[in-house]
Amino acid sequence: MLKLPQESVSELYVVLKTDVDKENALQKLSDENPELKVDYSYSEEEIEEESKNLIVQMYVLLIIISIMSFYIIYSSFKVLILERMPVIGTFRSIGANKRQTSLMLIFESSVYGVLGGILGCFTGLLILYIVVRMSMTGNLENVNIELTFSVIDIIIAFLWAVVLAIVSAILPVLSANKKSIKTIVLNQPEIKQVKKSSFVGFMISLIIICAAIGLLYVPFKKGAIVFDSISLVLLIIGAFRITSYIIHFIASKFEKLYSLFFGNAGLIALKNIKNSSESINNVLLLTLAVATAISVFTVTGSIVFEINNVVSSSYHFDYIIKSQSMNDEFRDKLVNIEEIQDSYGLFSQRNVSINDSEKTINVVEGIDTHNYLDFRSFDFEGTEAEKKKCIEKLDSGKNIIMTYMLMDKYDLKENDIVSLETNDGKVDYTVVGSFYSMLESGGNYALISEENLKEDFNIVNYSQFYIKSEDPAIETKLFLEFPNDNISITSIDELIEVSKKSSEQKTNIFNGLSCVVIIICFFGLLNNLIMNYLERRKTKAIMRSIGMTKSKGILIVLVEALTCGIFGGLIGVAEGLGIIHISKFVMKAINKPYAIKINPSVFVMFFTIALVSSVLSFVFLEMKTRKMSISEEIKGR
Amino acid sequence: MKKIVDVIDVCKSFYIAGEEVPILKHIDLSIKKGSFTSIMGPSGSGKSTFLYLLGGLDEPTSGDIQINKKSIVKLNDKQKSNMRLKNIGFVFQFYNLVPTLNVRDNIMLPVLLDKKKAKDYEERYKELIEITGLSKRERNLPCELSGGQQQRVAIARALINDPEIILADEPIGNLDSITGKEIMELFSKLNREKGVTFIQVTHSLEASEYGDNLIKLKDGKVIK
Repeated sequence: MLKLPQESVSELYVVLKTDVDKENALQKLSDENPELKVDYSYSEEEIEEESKNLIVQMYVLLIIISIMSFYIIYSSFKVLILERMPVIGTFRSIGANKRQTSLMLIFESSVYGVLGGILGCFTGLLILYIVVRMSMTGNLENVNIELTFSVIDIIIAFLWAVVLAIVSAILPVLSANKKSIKTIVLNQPEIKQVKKSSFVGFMISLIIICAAIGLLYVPFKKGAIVFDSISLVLLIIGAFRITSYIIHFIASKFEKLYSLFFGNAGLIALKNIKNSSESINNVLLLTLAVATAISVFTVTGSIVFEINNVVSSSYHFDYIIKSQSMNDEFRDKLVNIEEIQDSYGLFSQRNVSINDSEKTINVVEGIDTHNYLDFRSFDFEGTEAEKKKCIEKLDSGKNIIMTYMLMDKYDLKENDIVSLETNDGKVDYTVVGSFYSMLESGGNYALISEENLKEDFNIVNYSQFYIKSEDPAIETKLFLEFPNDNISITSIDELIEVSKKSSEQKTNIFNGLSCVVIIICFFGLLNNLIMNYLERRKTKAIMRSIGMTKSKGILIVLVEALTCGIFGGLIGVAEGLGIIHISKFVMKAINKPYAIKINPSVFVMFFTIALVSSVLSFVFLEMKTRKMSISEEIKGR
Repeated sequence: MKKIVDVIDVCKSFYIAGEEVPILKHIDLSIKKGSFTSIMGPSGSGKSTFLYLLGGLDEPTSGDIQINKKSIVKLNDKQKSNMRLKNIGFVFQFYNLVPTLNVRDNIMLPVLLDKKKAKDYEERYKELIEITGLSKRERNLPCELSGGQQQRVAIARALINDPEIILADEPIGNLDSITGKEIMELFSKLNREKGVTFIQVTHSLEASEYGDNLIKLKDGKVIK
């Protein structure tokens, strides 16, 4: 039997020994303490629900970072293979066949994968440690959070790096195979057939994007998260493909405008961008980084906004009182306290099973339909009068109102019958309405009438009281009034503060990860530019040899950088909006239908970052070519 | 014939691992306007270096180079760029076209760099594209062209601004004999009909025979 401490407590938390079966312990404690309500502090399902949006966002980031890494490795390997061509030629000329040289290159890529994997695992653990430290704010400040990961996790991450390196390298390796020995050995430039911007290619890209959008509306609830993930990948592929068409189109149409603003330098810059795979790669990387950062910031920001505002927008009172024994006598005493303007007693039942299944509703609230809306509120599709009318329906039979989240989760619609598992067995309730609320783990609660709850669940005590009072000394007064009731009082301000601190952790983690994406992108840009450094030096030397002045060279580079930044930023913003749209469906699929709020300042910020990153990376390159000798470059020394 | 290039006691050294390596030693020579000069010599004799000095792409260690009696050694970077843009056209062994620009844009590049309007050079462009036989390739990128075609583009680019001198570094060194012959005949024709001064560095005796003036370099010195 549990022995309650002498001091006033309303809730007692029990820590079980590690080898104790939880189910049995719960049953035993309930049987031995019939006057107490014994339940999990947090059920497995609740923990899973709570962590779902965190996990899903992590997966979305993983997909995006993998695509970004693939692209960076792929473009790097294309250049690396060009450098390896003389060696490949030598091998081929002494009898190595295409298969052997391909295996050699793929083996090389796997070595990079192994090295990257080892380094990545160590770096990953370091980042994980930083992320955990970042999350230990607010109510977790003094909690010792242990990093738990298994060897399997590390092996999977390592293998992922190796696979990513090999897969990314395969395409350039296969294209190297197409070259003849003569071409390689003599270092002869091959005549290529450059793919022109075709209407068919554009249409294929458009179809991919349309397919990405279409997949979101596939009416399969069970596989929704899979379809949404495919939709995300298709959107990124479609956006990748369509970007080069957009650049080509705009570069062709804006020649006059550029000529007007930047003179012939603008014209040359625009022509360079149009046909340069390096510039297009830069735009693509910027696009993906901007889109990722915008979507992560927007989705995280929206969740945090909802969490922060859920208390202030749902509760219209000043304090919550909780105690074990809040009956009518307690209520009468409470309403007679002079400093209390108004009060509301709420009956509720936690973890109610429905429809003979493991499906549960976290909280079923039994409400007094006459004054519930004076203390609590929620979003409703309809007017205030309709909302009131919907609430009043609860008094006319066994009726229930559920959140959209629950309706969606359990595939229910209005007028459906749900069977609630009560103390007296199953009782059928008719769904008479739905509403939007993020209280109780993102809206895992339903409303029935007070009378029905009391009757079906044999509840006599209130679970909590809401009070309105402007007296700052009300808490002291309440403790004096109810010295033996073990009451706990929480002010709404305290609740708001707690929810803010708790959401800060998520914000810190995701903002940190968004920064990682931006950093990867910036290094990707630099990597891309450095990989094409020799070609760029040569081009600059050619242009200098036919009379380009240094200042004109800088102007051309600056216009190129600005244009790439603007393209990357704008297309990134559009792609970001697409990912945000998909995120809405992902949230819905995991039963967290948070309302996404678009914040224009986030878009402006990341557009500016794209622009600055682009200019900085080009400036970096320009600095490196500042003192080059034209003749040496031309001679190729 | 009037002299267009004067090379006065020019020396050029490179520094490799802190040690001075002389490439050109006290070169003195003049080149007449409208002539077709070939510079020959074994590898490492300093032919290309000499050509790049004439074009202001490099600076002599000592001595002076004058074009139309004006020293180019004393010019600053901007003035040298301007001189290359207006007075000199370059043709290189490996063509050196800008890979991101198509045939038309590569040919028009000197015009664009000179703050001039492309439409003012439309007639000149059409004439060159006709002479070089590239009229069906205007929209192609360099990587879509054969070596001979790329060299023709480089020649057209060198001529678009109507320069007085064309400097060619092994212009047919990377081409097959038939294409090489076609290119040399084109040079010769332009030299005869347009009066353009050609200075070419070559290893090929056949190519040198198109010229009317031969300079032989050995160990950094003029031997003929």
